[in-house]
Amino acid sequence: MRVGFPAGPRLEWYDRNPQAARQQYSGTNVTPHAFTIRFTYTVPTGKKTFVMAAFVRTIRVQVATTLGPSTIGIYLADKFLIARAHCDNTLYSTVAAEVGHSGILLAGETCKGGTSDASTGGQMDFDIITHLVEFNA
Amino acid sequence: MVKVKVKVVGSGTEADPFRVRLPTYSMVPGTEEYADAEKKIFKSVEVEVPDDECDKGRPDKAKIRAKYRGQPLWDRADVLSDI
Repeated sequence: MRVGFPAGPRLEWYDRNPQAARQQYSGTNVTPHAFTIRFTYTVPTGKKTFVMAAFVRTIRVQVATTLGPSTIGIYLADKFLIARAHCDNTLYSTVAAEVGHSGILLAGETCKGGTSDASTGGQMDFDIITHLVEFNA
Repeated sequence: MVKVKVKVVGSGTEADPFRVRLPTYSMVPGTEEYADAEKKIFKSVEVEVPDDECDKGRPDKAKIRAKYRGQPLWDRADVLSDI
């Protein structure tokens, strides 16, 4: 005996009204600052969101007078997904990290990107990018 | 996306980071204004907000409450009262 759904099988997630919800912050020549959430994405009601990829990068573009740790990270539902600390005062030193498919966010959950730089003087470039796809739950 | 200037809240710590009281936003680099420039305490910043959360160039309470219906943080009468 075959068992099926009268109205047909449920569509795959990528066919359920998918929408790109990319989030990005690219700051150049950023001076030292305390921990700051550069972007927030909240999953709307009735949706879920696939985290397709995430990328973070820092570049020291001006040396600091006194070096302090500089951090960059992406947080899913307020937990670390990807994070790096940059503790190198060499001009153009770079720290980067990336991850691929990282799971699904439920309605009301968030994806946030944050930066900080505890140095005195100097400047950094920060890039935080997440590729998100939102679809009907 | 709609660009708007909004208030920054928080104290810059891990537990209470500088942030904006909107469900979805992205800060526009270089638009930060400081309450205390020496201590780097943010006062305001320009952010980009999705079109479907705005009306007449500003974040709209009714649209945000509808989009995030049932979510305690955003589906409330005083949402956007302090941005």
